[in-house]
Amino acid sequence: MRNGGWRTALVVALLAAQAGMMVFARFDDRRFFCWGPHDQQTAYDIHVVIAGEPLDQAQIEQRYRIPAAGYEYRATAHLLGLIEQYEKTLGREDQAQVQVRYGVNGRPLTEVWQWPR
Amino acid sequence: MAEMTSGPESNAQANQAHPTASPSWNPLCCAGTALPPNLLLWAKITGLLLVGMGYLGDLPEPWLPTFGWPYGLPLATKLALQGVMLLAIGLLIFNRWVRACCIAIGLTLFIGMLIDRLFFSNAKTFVALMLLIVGLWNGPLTHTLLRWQYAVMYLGAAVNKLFDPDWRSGRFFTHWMGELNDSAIYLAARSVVAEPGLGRLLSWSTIGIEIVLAFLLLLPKPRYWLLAALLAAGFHGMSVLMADTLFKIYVPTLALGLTVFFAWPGRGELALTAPPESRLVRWLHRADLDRLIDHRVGESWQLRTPDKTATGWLARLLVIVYLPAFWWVACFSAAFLWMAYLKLRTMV
Repeated sequence: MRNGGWRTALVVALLAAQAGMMVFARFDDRRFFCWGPHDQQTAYDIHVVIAGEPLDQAQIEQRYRIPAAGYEYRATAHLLGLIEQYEKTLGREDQAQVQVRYGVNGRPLTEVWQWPR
Repeated sequence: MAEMTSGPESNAQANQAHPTASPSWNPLCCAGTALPPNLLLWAKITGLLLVGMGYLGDLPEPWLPTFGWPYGLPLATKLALQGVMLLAIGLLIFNRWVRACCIAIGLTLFIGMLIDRLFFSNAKTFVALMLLIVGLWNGPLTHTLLRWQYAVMYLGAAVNKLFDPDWRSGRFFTHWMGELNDSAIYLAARSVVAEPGLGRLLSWSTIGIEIVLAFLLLLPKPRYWLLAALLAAGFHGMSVLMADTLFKIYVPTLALGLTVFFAWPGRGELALTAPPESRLVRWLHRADLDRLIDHRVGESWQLRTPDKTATGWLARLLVIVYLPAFWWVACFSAAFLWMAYLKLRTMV
């Protein structure tokens, strides 16, 4: 393309990709690159046991690089997906047992997510 | 008597970048490069914010990739990203290879978000996309694409909220503002509108404003973009007041970015007719580091740009607003006031 038309085409592709991600977000709860800012406030509490020994808060924070208990300001699935991805890949050999209790937008922490599922 | 008329070219041919063989090394200058002054100014301020607000230091080492690939990148990737970002911001500030620098900064943010899912945020996505679009500048059409970027963002935000039952019921707002944030404004408003009505009102107002903003920005007339810019400034200003946060780099860079919708005169394209003895004229000459103003002596104030003519107080206002010096002062003043506020808040 002449006269920098390829640059315009690239920008249009970027805009179209965002529109695509907005549609994709209807089927994927992680909501990456789809403009869902601060749409959920998830209070959570992570417990991890490896070889029968529970990890303390600092060890959990070191493992997942997030506080062991606190708030996730993106999508809830972002938090759970992070832990699942870690346990499936970098932490796979630890055979960790993980339990996350969480509550969305002020609800009590009654929802429970576990790994392995 | 103030008056403004638009020429037939109205925003279509104005605001072409006019690169000179050797752009100024003065960091405060924003004309004479491959980008129009307002886009370059926005990119420079954003670069400074990335450094000042710690984004440069926070660029991640490879960890859990956002889309599950690639694993096993060297830890030096972080250092490489930081080096590229720092170099690009430095060159950008001094008006060197400005388009390439914008693309480089945008890419470092994107790569950071792809190699570590914890680094992902909507604020960084916004900044990265805007920098890429600015870097891919291709004449006045790029202003339209930048507006569309804002429109897509607002539309995406509104759609996400519309599909969320806690947004539709107002529960999100009630919890966020009333319980998590203890927002003084929100709590005061509760005495006027009881819960859950207040949460629902603010939720639906937010969704409505975002849809209106997207709609206005997609319309083809500059007056709608001005309306959108004013509405967005009010909307985000209110959100800052209520949440007592700038949402990191998001609001500052978005607010200044509202200027990129508009045509901006280049070097010598501000034809100003004004009385030479005016104190304002003398001040304008000192502040016009980019030599945007072509001053002609006359009895009354008149400003002609490639696409519009203004007279009276509007001419005075526009000539000030078109000068990058005005925005430098405004941005540094705002940063100083915000930091003073934060200091005061910790003392109290």
